[in-house]
Amino acid sequence: MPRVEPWPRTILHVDLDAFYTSVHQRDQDRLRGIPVAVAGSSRRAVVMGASYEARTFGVRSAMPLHEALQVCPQLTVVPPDHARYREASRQVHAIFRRWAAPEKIEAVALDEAYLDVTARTRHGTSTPEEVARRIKFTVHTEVGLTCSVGAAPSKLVAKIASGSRKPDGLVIVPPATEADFLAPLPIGVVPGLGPKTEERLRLMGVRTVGDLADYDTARLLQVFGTSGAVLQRLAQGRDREPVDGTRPAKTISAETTFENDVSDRETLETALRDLTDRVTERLVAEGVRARTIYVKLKLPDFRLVSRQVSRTSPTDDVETIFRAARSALEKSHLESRPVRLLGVGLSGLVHPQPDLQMSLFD
Amino acid sequence: MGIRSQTALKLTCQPSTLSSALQIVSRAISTRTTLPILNNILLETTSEGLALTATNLEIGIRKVVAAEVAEEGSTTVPARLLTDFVGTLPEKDLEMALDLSTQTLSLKCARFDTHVKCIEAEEFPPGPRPDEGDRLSIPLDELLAAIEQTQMAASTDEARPVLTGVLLHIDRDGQTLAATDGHRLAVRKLQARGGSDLEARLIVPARALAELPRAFRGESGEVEVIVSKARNQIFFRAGTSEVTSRLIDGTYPNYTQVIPTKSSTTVKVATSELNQTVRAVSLFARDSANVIRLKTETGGLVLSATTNEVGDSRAEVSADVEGSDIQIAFNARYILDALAVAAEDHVELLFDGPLSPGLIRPPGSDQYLYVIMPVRVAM
Repeated sequence: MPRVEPWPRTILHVDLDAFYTSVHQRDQDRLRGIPVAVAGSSRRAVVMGASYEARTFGVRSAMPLHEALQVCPQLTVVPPDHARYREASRQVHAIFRRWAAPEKIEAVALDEAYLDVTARTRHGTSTPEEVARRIKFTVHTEVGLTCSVGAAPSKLVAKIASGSRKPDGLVIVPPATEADFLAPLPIGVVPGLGPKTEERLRLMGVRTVGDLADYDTARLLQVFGTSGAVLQRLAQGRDREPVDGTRPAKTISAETTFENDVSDRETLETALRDLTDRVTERLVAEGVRARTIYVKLKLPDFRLVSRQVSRTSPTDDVETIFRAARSALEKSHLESRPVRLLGVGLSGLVHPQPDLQMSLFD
Repeated sequence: MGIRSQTALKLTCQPSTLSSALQIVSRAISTRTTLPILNNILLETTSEGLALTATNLEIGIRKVVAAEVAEEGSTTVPARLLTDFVGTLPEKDLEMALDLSTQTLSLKCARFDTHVKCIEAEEFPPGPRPDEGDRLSIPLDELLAAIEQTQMAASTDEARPVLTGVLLHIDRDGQTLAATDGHRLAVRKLQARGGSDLEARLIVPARALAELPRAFRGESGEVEVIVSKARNQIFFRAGTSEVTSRLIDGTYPNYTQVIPTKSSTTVKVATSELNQTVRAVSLFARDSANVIRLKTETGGLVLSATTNEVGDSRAEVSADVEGSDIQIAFNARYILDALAVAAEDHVELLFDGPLSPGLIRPPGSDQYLYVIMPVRVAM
């Protein structure tokens, strides 16, 4: 009997299909089979998520709602229900934990995660395909959502694999076949490859990932510096990045677009208070603290202004965060210009240390 | 021959003295300013020579350089350009002359013939020159030493503006500088020369005080301090050099209340040996609290630190220990900050249990006190 070589690492990338709209379509019969978009109610709202039915009309995430209604006049628009999305995400993560230890599950977003299931496949008791199928089946039967899964020996290839056959896809890329799998794909799939780099590569005659993998390394180094070599390694499917479930999200942010441009202080502070409450709630839910609080303003001419305040000790206290956000707002809103969009973000997120620096004045 | 252009501000000075003064006043130029004129330095002729002033409306610095003034006048010159240019000049006489009609400053030095576009002096925001207000006088070396020993304890956390300042506490008994970030506190009494009737608690931005040693380099004697009547500006003058700053509005925490008044353990140790040991061991205190543990043992003090992925380190320092044994943990950086500015060969560490504030001071003296809150750890 031929012996099956175990994979050095088995990494799954699980991506819930059209997550926001799928949650609504699952819960409301009338939304099934029709074009649906999730968006706010303001006249400047943008599409947060679109169902596959809506996507066939060209509706996309981040598209202004009025534009979406132009390309798809029969579009049904539903307001976002964040509590329900969080609940669905929580249920899906509970399923993940049956297959991997918490530190081997890295959440990228509510609807996207990496799982390192090497422990399940190492001894040949289950194949990567079996694990992936069981996860897809359980998520569908217990949560009522479909997902696309990519299985590969690296995060990079798993992610590209899950995105290559959506919705409800399953793509397995065994070791030593990564480069062949990637070769025919357009270079845009390589993460970290921005539009400018893509354009320059095109001019150099590089169109597919395979072209990039085979390109003269010295020339890439000459044009792009070290990052050229890094991109080429990725194109060859060489990625050793571990799945790290202990790594907190990099930033937590929330923003709001005003119905009409706002320049008065009071309205801005009320909106700031609301946004601060929202980001702090998520911060506390993740069990982390933030070192840096930033405020982002979009002016009527779409110019972005942002200012940040950094604290010496990380915090999860809503009042402290609000005070910091207000002082960042003061710094960024010196000339009381009208504001189109206001955002608050938290970064420098850290898990609270068990060691506690005591304070002099408490 | 054409019409002679109208000139004003005409003088001769030395590039090296001008260059060092420009570098000092440029410290007050903000890199990000909404007012373009604040990118310029104000040049004015005075009876003492050429006065240079820069401000970001929060901090202002003024220096006077020796110059032979032929014609009086004033203008403002782009700070960065002038500083960079003068810094490259050979050590030959530098002749400056302003063409008033075009606001162009000509700089002639050795082979160089240069013209810089200026902005009228009237555009420059009038600096606060509080000739009125409460005054006191502090010996310069004493003030600079006290600033060095306190300003590093101020907070950089702008969410609590009051703590980003250093408190200048003036009362009948004398003057004290105090700074804290909420985790450690540095208090330095100034050796007062003559009393003052003034009583005040002024919060000076630590950033402004940090400029004093540089701005007053080369000066000696007394620093004249003037506090504006509205108590919103402070003004320091030594010789011909001046630093002005806004004061921070707010109530400073009652710092005297957190200075420990009793201790159960006293450790006397050589400053440099402790400094070197903390520095080495703390390389293994890499987590965010930077934790280093201190433990008394017969005849000494044991320091240790551990970080999971890095490793651990332990070292002994010989010390005189009196009182009960103790194990306590601190942020290593806070200890290093205190040791870096300790003026004596030895320091005294006083503890009163692992969860009470520790105190670092020169042996037997209360002129300089540095209080640190411990880190609560599983021992």
